[in-house]
Amino acid sequence: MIIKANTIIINCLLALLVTLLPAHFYAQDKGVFSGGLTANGNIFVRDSIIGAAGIPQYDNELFGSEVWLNLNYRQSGYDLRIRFDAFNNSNLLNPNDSYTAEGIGNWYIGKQLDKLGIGVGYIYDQFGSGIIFRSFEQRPQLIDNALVGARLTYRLSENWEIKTLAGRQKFLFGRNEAEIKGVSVEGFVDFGKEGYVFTMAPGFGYVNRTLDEESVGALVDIIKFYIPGEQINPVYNTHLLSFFNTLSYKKFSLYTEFAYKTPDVFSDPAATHTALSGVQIKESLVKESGSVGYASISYATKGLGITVEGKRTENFDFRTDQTLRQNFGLINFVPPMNRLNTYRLTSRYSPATQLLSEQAFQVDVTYSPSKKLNININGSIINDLDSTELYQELYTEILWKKSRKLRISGGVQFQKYNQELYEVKAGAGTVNTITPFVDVLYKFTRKKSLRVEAQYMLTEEDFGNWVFGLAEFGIAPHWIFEISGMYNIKPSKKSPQDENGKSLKILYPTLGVTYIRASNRFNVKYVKQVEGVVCSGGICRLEPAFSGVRMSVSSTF
Amino acid sequence: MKKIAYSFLCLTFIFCISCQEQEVAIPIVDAPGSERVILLEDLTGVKCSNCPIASTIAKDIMLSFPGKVVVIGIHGDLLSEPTSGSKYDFRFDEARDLENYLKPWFGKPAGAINRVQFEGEPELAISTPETWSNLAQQELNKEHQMDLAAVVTYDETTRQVSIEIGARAVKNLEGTYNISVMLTESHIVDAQDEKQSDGSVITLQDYEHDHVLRMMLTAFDGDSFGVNPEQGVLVNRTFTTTLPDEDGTWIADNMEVVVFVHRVDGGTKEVIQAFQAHVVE
Repeated sequence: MIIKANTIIINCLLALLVTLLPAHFYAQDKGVFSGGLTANGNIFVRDSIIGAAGIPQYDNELFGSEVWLNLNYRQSGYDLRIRFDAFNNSNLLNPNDSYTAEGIGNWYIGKQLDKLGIGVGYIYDQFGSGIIFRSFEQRPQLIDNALVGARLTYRLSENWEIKTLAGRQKFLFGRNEAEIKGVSVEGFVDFGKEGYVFTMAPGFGYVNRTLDEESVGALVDIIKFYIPGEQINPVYNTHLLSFFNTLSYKKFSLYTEFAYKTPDVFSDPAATHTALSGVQIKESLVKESGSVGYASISYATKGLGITVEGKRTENFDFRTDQTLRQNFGLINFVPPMNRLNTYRLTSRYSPATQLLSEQAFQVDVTYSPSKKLNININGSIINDLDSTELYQELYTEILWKKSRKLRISGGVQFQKYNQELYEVKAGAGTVNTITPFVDVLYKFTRKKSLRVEAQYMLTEEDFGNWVFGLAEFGIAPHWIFEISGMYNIKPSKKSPQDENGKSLKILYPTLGVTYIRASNRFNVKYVKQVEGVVCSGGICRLEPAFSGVRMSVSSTF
Repeated sequence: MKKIAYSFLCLTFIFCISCQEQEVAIPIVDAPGSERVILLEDLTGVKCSNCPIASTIAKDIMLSFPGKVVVIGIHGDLLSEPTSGSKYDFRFDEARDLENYLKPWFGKPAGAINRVQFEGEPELAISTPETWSNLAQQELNKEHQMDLAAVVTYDETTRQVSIEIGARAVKNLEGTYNISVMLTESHIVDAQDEKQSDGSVITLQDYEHDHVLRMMLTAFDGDSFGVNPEQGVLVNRTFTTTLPDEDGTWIADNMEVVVFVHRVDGGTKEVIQAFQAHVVE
């Protein structure tokens, strides 16, 4: 059924292309055809010592791949897009299993008619910062929750726009059944006297989710096994409302957003219920309203930037089906409150955004006393609403551009990461780390460069101490050669052990080469990777160890 | 124009959230009327901190439908390795093979109910335990297709267990069927990771493990039972085994025999009927 529907859609798009391109368009407005390809391939090499075993790819299938091919066409205000997806024994959907499917991943037809914008198909958009609605794509975790439906935008005036959308959420090559609709108004206002001008960008958003009969039935089928006195009444409709505003004055900017969710049924791990048999069962469905408050104030002047953020989240788990778990079915996006770290060891422990109970603060200061020196200090604190400590980080980095040939950066990161809660690991407690790091880039010539990284993680918890080293040699414009290794230099009892129970000092190497030609990039590397949490924008999941060869091709045209 | 738009939106919102929905009726759970006995295979593990909740739900289902539900706890591979303080290792080859046989599943805990691939469910072993009760009820409401019973004899001196099975289809059945025979053990006190209400995870040293799969007397996917069983035709099978020496486990008084007949063709693994009896009555 899905393949037939996709075939019909492709034929319609082609027909649309032909009928919407009469001869005189070519003379007046040439169309622009573009596209992009991303293809990944993995060869799985079994290594039971590090835990890279026991899943189909390592045991039998040996090879997995993912391909996304985008094709875009624009002409005369028309915007046409289509994307082909293919997954072959892929472990992106479930790191412990394989997934194989192929078909049209998304398509879109849009047209701007003066003040009115029309779009149908797979829609990526958000209201405000995304707290009440965000449809987006994140390929490393196979998150693609595009809204399949229609969107209308209308310019009320030069500074004001109203937007409305409706549809169902994409899930792989199908749909989640709940209906989602929303409307937002965003604008821009300036006021004040010359020299003392304030600007405001206020906005208002409303989203409604209507559960389908099957989803409500699934909730009823769970609730009916609760004793009558503890049964709750599910609702078909949940309404979300948010007000947001950016207020700017000279060098200051203040963004605030408050969102509210009407009472909705969701699963609360902290709640218990009594079953009909009299047994007490932990983790229950509850019916509660929810809210998120978020504020960010920033100050920017020459050589200095300061940002302070705060967030409070309560009962804001909002999905197309409230029996879904992990990253499935999420309709909104609550922003993370920690720094996005990029070095291997500084990004090893990253906190997932908590949707039911979280309060967090983050401060970021960037200071450049000269063109050659840049200092960054970042601190964040995340607790739950009962003040249980979840995550704390202090990150410091100094970047020194000594000359055109030499750039050195270095710093130290301090972390407290509640691994027990974030990774649900018994007895893990809180992992405390101190990670100094240095990164040196030296350009021998205009074409040849060498970048060297070194990091050391000091911790008594989890797998113990690590050291990481990387050397990356570049021959512009085409070649990059990489060799790196992450070494469990002082393993703990939780590290992999030999048959005698002795913790092993394991090296996790990476050897790779990248070739770049024009807009094409080819990469192949041999990788051994320790198990860990992979996060992107606060959305995280635990991934098992990897051993094998990774290949990737990306191309834009 | 802006004021009109804002006013319209506010009124729309107020209107929408003010509308009262009809209350959704919560039905009463009826006791099943047939002679059907179903199988719940709980993919679990001592390092799976969410699994104790699933085990409690499985226990609740047994209590809600007494004598109608057979539960097996399978410690295969994922999260099944011994945890801190573990005295025993519940893993063995057939359990690992069975765990793979019951894929797809997304994580533990996961439960296969009569090995049925339910409509709309991407998993065979379902990793949302709160839905197991209803799915079990659905299976119990299906038509009874086979009478299945066994006589279990245990010799305390030799530790030999003999199982004489009789099965008779109550209607003509289509397909190829296998029979699986297992030994499970309950009341094993050992370590188990458990997630607490505040999100912390602790290792309970005195957790009582029930219905743990300890041994299979057939292949992990069963031995041949028959093709197109005819109504009223009695099929007999006999299995014997010797229990290993006690090591704190393998206590005959705590052990159960589980027998079930299941289909192995037609793209389904559905269990037709299950049976359970104590090794020592």
